[in-house]
Amino acid sequence: MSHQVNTASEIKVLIDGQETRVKPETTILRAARTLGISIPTLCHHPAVEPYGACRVCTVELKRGKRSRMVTACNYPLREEGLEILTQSERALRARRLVLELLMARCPEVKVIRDMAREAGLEKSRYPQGDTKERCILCGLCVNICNQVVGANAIGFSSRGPDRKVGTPFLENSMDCIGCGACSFACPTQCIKMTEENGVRKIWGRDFKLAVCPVCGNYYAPIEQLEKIQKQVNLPPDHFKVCFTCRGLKL
Amino acid sequence: MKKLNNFQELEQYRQQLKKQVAADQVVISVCGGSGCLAFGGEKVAAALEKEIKKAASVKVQLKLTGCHGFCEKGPLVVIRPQGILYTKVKPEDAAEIISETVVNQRIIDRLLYKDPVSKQKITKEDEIPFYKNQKRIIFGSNGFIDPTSIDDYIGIDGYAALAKALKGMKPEQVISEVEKAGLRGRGGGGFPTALKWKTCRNAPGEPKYVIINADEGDPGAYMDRSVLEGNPHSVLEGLIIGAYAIGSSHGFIYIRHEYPLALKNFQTALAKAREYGFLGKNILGSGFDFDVQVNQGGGAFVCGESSALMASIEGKLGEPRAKYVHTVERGIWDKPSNLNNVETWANVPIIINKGADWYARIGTDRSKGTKIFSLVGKINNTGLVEVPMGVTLKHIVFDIGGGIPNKKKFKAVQTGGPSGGCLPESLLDLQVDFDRLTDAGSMMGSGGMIVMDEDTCMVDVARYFLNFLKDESCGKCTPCREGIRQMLAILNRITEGKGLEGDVEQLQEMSGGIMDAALCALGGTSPNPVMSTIKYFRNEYDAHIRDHKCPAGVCKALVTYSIDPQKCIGCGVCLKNCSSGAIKGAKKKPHKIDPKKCIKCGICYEVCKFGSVKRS
Ligand SMILES: Cc1cc2nc3c(=O)[nH]c(=O)nc-3n(C[C@H](O)[C@H](O)[C@H](O)COP(=O)(O)O)c2cc1C
Ligand code: FES
Repeated sequence: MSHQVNTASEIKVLIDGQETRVKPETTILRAARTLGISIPTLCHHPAVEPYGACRVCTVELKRGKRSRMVTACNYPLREEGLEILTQSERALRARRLVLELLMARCPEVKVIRDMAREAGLEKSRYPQGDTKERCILCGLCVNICNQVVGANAIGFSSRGPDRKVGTPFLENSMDCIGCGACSFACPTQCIKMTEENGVRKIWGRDFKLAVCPVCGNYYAPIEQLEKIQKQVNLPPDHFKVCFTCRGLKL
Repeated sequence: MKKLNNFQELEQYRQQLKKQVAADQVVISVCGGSGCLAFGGEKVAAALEKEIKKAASVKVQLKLTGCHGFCEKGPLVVIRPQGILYTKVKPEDAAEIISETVVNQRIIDRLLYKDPVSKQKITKEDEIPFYKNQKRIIFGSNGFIDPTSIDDYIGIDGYAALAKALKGMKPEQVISEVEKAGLRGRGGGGFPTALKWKTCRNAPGEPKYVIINADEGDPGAYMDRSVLEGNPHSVLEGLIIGAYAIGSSHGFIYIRHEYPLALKNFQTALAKAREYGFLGKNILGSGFDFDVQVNQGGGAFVCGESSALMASIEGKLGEPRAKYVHTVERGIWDKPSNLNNVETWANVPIIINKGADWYARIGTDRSKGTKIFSLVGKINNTGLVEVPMGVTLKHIVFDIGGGIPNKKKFKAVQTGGPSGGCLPESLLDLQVDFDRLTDAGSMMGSGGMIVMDEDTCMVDVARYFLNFLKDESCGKCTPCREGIRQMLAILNRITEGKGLEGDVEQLQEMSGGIMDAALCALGGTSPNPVMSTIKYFRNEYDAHIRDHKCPAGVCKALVTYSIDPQKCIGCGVCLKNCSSGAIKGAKKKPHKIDPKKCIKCGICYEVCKFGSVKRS
């Protein structure tokens, strides 16, 4: 706990042998990206607080002779003299462990298979789970819904291997506004959302879509428009026209 | 009772209390710890009370105290000032205890403890090996006080340390005293307490919080519970001193939902401390303000982890958070929050009272003081034992614990709770302290000690602990949620005789990865049971995998039962006890087990008096 904290000027870090200078509190992930070094991530999304749950971004951090493992997505660089290894034996072992476990959990998910191949894994040695399982429990949907949309419509239930994402008590949630942000954000496309005849179906509920008077297209759930309009205190007819047509008119 | 306004009033009140208790006053202390209560301790106390009322000539004070530690022999009754210990006391014994021992000063032989080694009866509590070999600086007071009486606590110099700190020590001096004492956290990690306090004190942000971690969730562990039940003021006094040192005016206790008596006694302690002026505004006239709020834990094991605990106090989901800022700097509501274990806090008044030098003489170079262990499993003297850091495992298991029952051989001792490790016979001379246990591949944890005999299968043990951890994993991070489950699947197949060559190596590889990648210490230490059993009992893994044998005869899929026709006299006991009708045979003729019907429950093996049932 007695590391030197340098808040004013930029600090120097070494990532995979390349040197860079960053502002204090920059995450390893960001610093690495400025150097063009890519570190795989699953639960990371710039719009939400780092959640640090998937652990696929685990890298090795060296301070002098001491070495420890940290997640790149949320480790804040605060001191001089750090060296980060994203491809060391230990870093790769951790990454492969995570990916091999996720491959066993969700055998059919392409993002995972691709990422695993990148890390040198063709298949998982563990007994395969249900091929229909696509959720890797990265929590992005939950965090987007809570932190960005502000709807708090979904969350986690149960512990350990039984953990699930869903609406409270798995019943239809009245907090859901049908915005679909969870579904768009999901890295494995496992949140089912369909649209047919002006109705969007998601999380077991039907949402009527608003029709644009200009182009005649369905564009967004009425509940979502109402919520945004109230939240941001916009004039009641602000969303009368779809986003595209509004753009054209302006 | 009116508030004690300053140090002088406290000292005067203490002297007055001490005078009230005559030196020859007979005190009968009945253990009201959970173990003794389960054996009927409360009825014993009620019966004694009735008898005391009847015998008007004697003046006896009866106390229902917290746990004395020797739970195996409960209900326990101690008669002071002589210090006579009666074990396994029944309500029917009450009349005799009063009329014989109290009135006529005669010892009741049948209630005395009999030493299994020397076969001698021992009269005095402090002479029996179980107690004699301990050093009970924390836990010893339990037997002397009624936990609901603040006067009892003040009578044994309670709140003197608080007065000393507030009166003559600057906060920094308190911290440096704790630092010199070398106190390390008793909640698992062994983190230097003074360093944590200092960090919290210096961290920017107000208010600062101090918290008692009373979430004790290790299966079989009950030391924190027993300290809170038996001596709640000692923990509270430690907390108040810590708050003063850190500069906090707001404390929390996060207490396990399943501990109603600990909660009740602690709440009583809080109410009394407020009434006496040890909590509230301007404590003992010092100008220092402090109070404590009670929070009940949600019941999950992981809620004992610092960041999960603090999230839970905030009313959020009790899950560990992935942040590289320690809670001591940014904890509850992002304010500096200092969390210590129950036993850690209870050490503080002792350090202040007796001084760091006195304290630092107990223990090893880097682990000071004592540690309370809950000694359970295949051990003669089940109970709570407090020993100086650095005594050997052998000393705890054999001298205090009385060794293994039924003439069985010692096989291993598991320390450190569910994610601790198993240590073999060859390490019985290991000195028990934080670093030596960690170096040996186990850990101190919160002080669980489970003794295992020769009939224990170490693969099965690893499986048992992993199964516990699988259920208690919060499921947030991948390595813990999926990794433990998959390790467990491998252990399961090994115990079912379907283990594969290379399984052990795969377990080792997974262990390394999980330790490195897990989000919190639950996942990070979860491979310990597997790693330590592989390290010390590799041959058992190999026997399961290569020879399809379980050397201890535990794994059902790998054992077969048969009857030796040479030895069987055809008494029919096994046949009568077999619930699946697998045993056939005529009277006085050798019997046979039908392997198709046998469910391998092992009852025949247990009941045969002639050793003719074979397990292989
Ligand atoms: C899964 C898990 C459970 C824990 N449970 C407890 C507990 O029940 N009691 C406790 O004092 N510490 C527990 N800890 C340790 C705490 O996180 C923390 O380190 C401790 O309370 C700090 O106090 P100390 O410095 O006095 O040991 C647990 C840790 C983990 C990872
Ligand atoms: S991206 Fe870092 S833990 Fe998921």
